[in-house]
Parts: sequence; structure tokens; C-alpha cells
Amino acid sequence: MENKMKRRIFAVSIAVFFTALGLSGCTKKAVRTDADVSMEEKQAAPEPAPTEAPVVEQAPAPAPPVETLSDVFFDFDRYNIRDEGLKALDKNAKLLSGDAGMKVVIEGHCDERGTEEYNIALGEKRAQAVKKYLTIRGVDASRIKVVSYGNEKPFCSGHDEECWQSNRRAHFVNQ
Amino acid sequence: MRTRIGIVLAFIFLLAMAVPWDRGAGAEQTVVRRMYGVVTATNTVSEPNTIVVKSKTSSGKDLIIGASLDNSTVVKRGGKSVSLGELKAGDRVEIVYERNSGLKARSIVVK
Repeated sequence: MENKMKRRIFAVSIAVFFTALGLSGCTKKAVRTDADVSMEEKQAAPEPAPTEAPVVEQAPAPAPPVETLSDVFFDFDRYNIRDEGLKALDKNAKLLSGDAGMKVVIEGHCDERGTEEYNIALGEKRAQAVKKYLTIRGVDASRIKVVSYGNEKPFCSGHDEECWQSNRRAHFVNQ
Repeated sequence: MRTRIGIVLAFIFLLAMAVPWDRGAGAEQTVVRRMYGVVTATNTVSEPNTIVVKSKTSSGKDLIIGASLDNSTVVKRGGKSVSLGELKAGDRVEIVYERNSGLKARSIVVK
């Protein structure tokens, strides 16, 4: 009788054990939380194709303005340098002092009036006057050449005072 | 000795006063000239109007005169007053102009 009882208890225990085991397996599946799902979904979901960030091309920095040597203008039949000419030459002297390798040619020009010979001489005087001023301002004379074109190379071909004025000049050319 | 030095200094002073310092720099002298030549261009658009006349120097070199005109400038053809626009390139003219800071035509007469 006692043995029978033991067998029953043993059988029930095993049944309970397996039932519990079975239930526990089912429970695991059933109790999937939203968090788990979302994790799986996250893992399973294809990663979005990497989108290429728009390439923002940076505009090249604007080049610094190239400072050029200013021309000097003269009165009719004169080679003395006017006030605004002196200011321009002060600036030119600074530029030349800042670049020891720069050599220049100063061209003397005249308007169409007068004789060719006279204008060649006048152009020479204009260019020399400009050279002299630059040397006074500290520019080495060996860096400056002088040439006179008289009225041979006018900047303006008209026949009026405005045109003539623009032709009466000392023009700088980098060597 | 002092007298001699005084005489020399006085002489130098007088000499210095007599020398015209920088004659051409400031004083604007008006010089009037007459020239015969050929009209090469006129400009009735610019202000002031201008005329360009080509001539020869006594040594045979080309000489170009460019003068401005104003209300007082007399322009004549055949004894009658005409406008600058009626002059043509190639006209032989006598031009009287004054030279100051520039050239200004006083009269232009077609010959």
C-alpha cells in the first residue's frame, strides 16, 4: 500500500514536472514583450541605404585684388607732377618698395598736338620727372627704365580735351 | 675789408633778384599765334568743341594744333560766318589761337 502511494506521488511529481516544463516553454513564447519584438524588428529591418550628404562646394576664396601701378597725368605742355599724381606715385612707391623684384618701365606719352620731336622730348621729361620722384621716395633707380613714345601710342584717338588729357601721361609697365 | 664784403653781398643780392625763379612754373602767359594748315578733324560733340589743324614747321616737320572753341571764336568761310560743323577735313584754314593752359581758337578762316 505504501509502495503504491509512493509510485503515485512519483508519477504525479513527474507529470507535474513535465507539465511545468512544457508550460514554461510555452510561456516563454507567449510572453514576448513589445520590447523584444521591436528589438527583433530592429535587427531584421534592413538598414536604410546611406544617403549621401549633399556636397557643399565651397566657393573659392576671392583672389585679392591685384594692385597695379597707377598712371600719372599731366597738364598741356607740362611735365610737372600734379597733386593727384604725387598721391598716385606715393602709392606706387609703396608697392615697389614691397616687392623688391619688381622692375618697371615708365612710358612718357603726349597728346597729338605739337611736332613729333617736341613730343618725344616732352614724353621723356614726363617719364624722367616720375622716375625722379620715385627715387626720392626710396625706389632704386636701377629698377626703373624710362622710354618716351611722344604722341606715337595714344590711349585715346579722339580729338577733344578729354582724349588729349588721357594721352598726356606717364604709364607704368611691369618689366 | 668790410666794405668789400658788403659790396659783394649787395651784388649777389641784386643778381638774385634779377634771376627769374622758375619762370615757367606758375605764371600763365597768354601767347597768340597764327598758323596756316589743313583741317584734319573737328569735334562738335565734345564740350568744348575742338578743331585739329595740321601744318608744317619752318624745318618741314609736321605740326599738329588742336584748339578748343568757345562762343567768342569766329569761324568764317568766304567772308561769312559759319559753324564749326560746316568745316570739313581737308579745308585749308588760317587759325589764330591763344596759348594759355591749353589752346583756344580765336578765329578760323577757310582760305
